[in-house]
Amino acid sequence: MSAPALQALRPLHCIRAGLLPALFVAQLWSGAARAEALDQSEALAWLQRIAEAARALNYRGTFVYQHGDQAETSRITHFVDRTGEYEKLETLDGPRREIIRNKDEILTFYAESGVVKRERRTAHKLFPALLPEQLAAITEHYELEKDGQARIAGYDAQALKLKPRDGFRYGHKLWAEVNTGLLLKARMFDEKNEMVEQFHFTEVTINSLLMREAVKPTFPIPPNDSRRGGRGEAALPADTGWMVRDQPAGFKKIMEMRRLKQSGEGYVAHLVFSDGLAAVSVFIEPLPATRHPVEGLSQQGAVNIYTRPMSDQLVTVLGEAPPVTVRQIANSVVPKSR
Amino acid sequence: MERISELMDGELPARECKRQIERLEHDTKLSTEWDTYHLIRDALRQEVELRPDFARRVHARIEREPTVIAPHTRLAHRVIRYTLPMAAGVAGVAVVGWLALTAQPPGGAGQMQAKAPVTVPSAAAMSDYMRAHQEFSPRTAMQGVASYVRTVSADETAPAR
Repeated sequence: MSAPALQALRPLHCIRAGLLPALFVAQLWSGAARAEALDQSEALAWLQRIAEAARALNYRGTFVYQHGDQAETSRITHFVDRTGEYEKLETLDGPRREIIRNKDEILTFYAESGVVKRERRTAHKLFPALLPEQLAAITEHYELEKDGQARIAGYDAQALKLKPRDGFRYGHKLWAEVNTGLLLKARMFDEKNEMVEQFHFTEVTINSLLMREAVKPTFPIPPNDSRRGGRGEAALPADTGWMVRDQPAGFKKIMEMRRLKQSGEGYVAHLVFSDGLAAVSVFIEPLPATRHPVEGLSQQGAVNIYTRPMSDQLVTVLGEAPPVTVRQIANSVVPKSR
Repeated sequence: MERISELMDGELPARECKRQIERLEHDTKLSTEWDTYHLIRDALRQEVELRPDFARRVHARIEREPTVIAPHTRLAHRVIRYTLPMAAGVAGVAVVGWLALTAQPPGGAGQMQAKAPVTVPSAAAMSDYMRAHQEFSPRTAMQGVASYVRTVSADETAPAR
């Protein structure tokens, strides 16, 4: 409430007990409204800081990824110089795997089989960080608030809570280092408020003096596949001829592309929908006549996957969203009317 | 309506302010206007935008508040003291409300979960999909390649050569 309005309400002789409810409400609207609004804008600013920190800081640390009853430890190194961002993730538990990210591509190395998977990045120019439109979408579908401070991996961290406004998205809790904004811990909650996934730094050095060597792959990079080289990019924005007719509120299409299959044989249509905080991907590919998949749901960490055959096509929808969301999206995939 | 804007600006004499508050209490049209005025004011001052139905939502929450204490004396003093815990109470109710709302998501997710997970498309194709998806997850913007750990989680089988 504005200060003048408060003054107007203050004279005691103006007020009797019968007025109290109205006054209560008036006070509450404005007091709570302002507190919520302030809190929300601060929380949004924190989200931006987190995205900025993820891009701009040099850091190296160990984090635990927890999903279901499993926990796995990995080491991550992020390095930035004038030529761009470089990142390396090495798993420390279980089979040795390594992911290298640079400005053009993602390389995944499976040490046990020696396989390297190469993924061209299609959108690094489009999605440098959280965009203002994304932030606006977030406030529309989540209640944001600051949630106190905590100490994580030896740093003071600001906690943020993002509560979904409906059942079509998960809740989030994030902890950002107070000085740099680096995300130290992130948790996702399902509709029953149970944790579905957590990232948690146990140890991290921020703004560490790193050499480029620290983000070099330890595996030999295979030469560019000639099949792919011959056809240019492996994924290109395109009109795929498919659309989603009835996605849950707030999920807007942010990308549509044609993706060359890893096998090099044929294309997959890939549509991406996002509410600003979660993304859901839709993949549509021709179904081989020899295979008869059944409709069904599976899950990996916070990612739900829903598959269904649709005449001679196979539709796969996956994203860090509740089962109901991926299923609804999968069930409303239709060919665009021509 | 003019009176309401005067009330908001603190320009009404005490007696009149009582009358207007009583009107506000009984007249939903008027209270919507009161709400709108605040929204306009906030917008003009470029304060954070509130959803237009904010008051209605707060109302709804208050309805669900179990205790409302209405003391009879020293009102203004008490109002301020009661408002703060109440605001905290609203936050609490918000959580409960959210739980209640999402306990039964539309479409009956429960039924769906009963179905056994399937392994079609192939694990390899699924792993390709997972990787392709990560690039667009807002999480990747917030925590970089760490979100890709989902794609190399130990329970994933390595692709064959």
